[in-house]
Amino acid sequence: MFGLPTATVVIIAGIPAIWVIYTLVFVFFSRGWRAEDVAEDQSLASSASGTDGRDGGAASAKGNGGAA
Amino acid sequence: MNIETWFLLIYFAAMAGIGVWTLKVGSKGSEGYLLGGRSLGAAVTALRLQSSSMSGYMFLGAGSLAYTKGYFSLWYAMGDIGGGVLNLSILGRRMRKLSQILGSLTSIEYLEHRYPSKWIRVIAAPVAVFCIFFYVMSQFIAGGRGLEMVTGIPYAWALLIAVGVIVFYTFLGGYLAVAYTDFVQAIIMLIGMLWILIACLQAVGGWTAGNEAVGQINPNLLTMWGPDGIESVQWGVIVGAVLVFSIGYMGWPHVNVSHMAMKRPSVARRASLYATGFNLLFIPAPYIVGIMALILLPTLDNPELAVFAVADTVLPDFAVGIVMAGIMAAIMSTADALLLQSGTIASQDLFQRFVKKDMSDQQSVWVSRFTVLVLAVIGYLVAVNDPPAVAEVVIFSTTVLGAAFVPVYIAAAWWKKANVPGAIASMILGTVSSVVWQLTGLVDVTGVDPMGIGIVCSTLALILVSLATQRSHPVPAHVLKAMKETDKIGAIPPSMLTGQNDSLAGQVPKDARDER
Repeated sequence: MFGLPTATVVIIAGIPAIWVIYTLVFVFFSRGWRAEDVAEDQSLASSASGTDGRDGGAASAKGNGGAA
Repeated sequence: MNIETWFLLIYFAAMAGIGVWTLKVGSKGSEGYLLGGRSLGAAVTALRLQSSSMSGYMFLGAGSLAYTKGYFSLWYAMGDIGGGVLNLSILGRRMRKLSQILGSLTSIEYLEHRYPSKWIRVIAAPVAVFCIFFYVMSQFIAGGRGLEMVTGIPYAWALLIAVGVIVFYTFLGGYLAVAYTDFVQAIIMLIGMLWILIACLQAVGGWTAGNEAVGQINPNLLTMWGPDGIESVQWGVIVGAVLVFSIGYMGWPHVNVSHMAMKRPSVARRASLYATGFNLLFIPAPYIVGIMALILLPTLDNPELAVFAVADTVLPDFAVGIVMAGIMAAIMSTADALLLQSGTIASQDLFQRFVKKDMSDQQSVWVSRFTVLVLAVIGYLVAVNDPPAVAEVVIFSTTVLGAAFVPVYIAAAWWKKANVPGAIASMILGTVSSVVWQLTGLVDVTGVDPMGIGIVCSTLALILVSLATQRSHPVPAHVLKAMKETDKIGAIPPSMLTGQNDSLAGQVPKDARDER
């Protein structure tokens, strides 16, 4: 294919494909990270309104979608 | 003045303009100058990360490797494509959060805060500055060579112009200028590189026809085993080639500072998509152009100029100017990041830490700027008098940085037992083993890349020494608390937001710092 030996095609197509899969898996498993933004916004809002905000919405590690 | 030169002048003016634009934010003390106020989103973070790690190597070294070794050279690209996502997924969120809790402004300072001992900085700062200096010098040379070729200006003057523009906007705007120019430059270099690739493939009659023609020269050039065939392949070198630009990124202080400047820890997630997308489009291109140069320019005297020469051959004059701006973008985006990192290390990690502890933010910024200027002058003088090969210098300096720092950065974020003696042993052994391996010619004798040997040595040293010294040198409680907090997904509790720099919110408790 493309005038190249099969091994070359497999390597130069296969390894980038692995990186793409790795990226998608990472994005999927880190979907819970969005909770951090919400928690941070709540923390900032409570600080701005003068409340203590201690432990300002720190979600537990369980809510991390499996990746921290 | 030809049209190519006009395009370059416009491009230089635009970059300098960004420097002036960011001057206001860049001057707001150390945080503004060194981390852009921790305000960067996913796209800027990802493209800044990628463009600052690509460098002039992609246009000189990659083309040269491909021209001399054929498809074997793509092993470097295979690792490189995943470098961004590996770095962001392993270090990104954790380093951003931990650096904020520990109150770290620089990537070397972060190491000292995580491994609380002045010896961490005493060892890490000189190693980083030494490697970064050689790396930045190679970028100056690449910039000078490129300008010389397009404009016809003598090398010494071309080099002076390239260095002058880079220093100008780094000097003015600091990290924010570097980040935004890197972002713009990443887009320009992607457009430029794809343009060369498409024109090059059209010129050789398509990729398949081009490969067939290369096969006529030497069929082994089409294999992944090198021009001498599979019998002479050095598997250790292949492993090293993949490692240098995949996990190697995680040891580069000038790249890791991107994590610390992210607006939020979660930025790392979306940035990984941008990084992988950019890499897939950009990275293989210069290698393929270098291979096709064997057909278009079979008698090239200097293989390092393969990509430049192909651009000059296959593109119309106006396009050469735009493409050259892309090439200069790759060079300048790395050089500015390196220069700023050296200035940061000098001001924050050496001068303020060991010489003048009560230095004000403004004084610190000026020390950083002065260092940028001094390093630029020394780099210029060396580059103009006796310029070494770009690819060799880049691979050597990045190999040493990777071997010295990859395990300590990863363990800093993930391994709670990693302690001061382990980190010191790791950095020393990683540096010494990779330098000795390279300088004594053991690469040729053993067929093992210095990056591979360096990483193995530094990793083993970190694990074994940390485990052996857990009782005598336990990880301090405030560091363990910060790491535990980093494990969690959530805002940093206000109870941890006390310490040395109120503008950064999260700091090392003062009592803990006094104990050091």
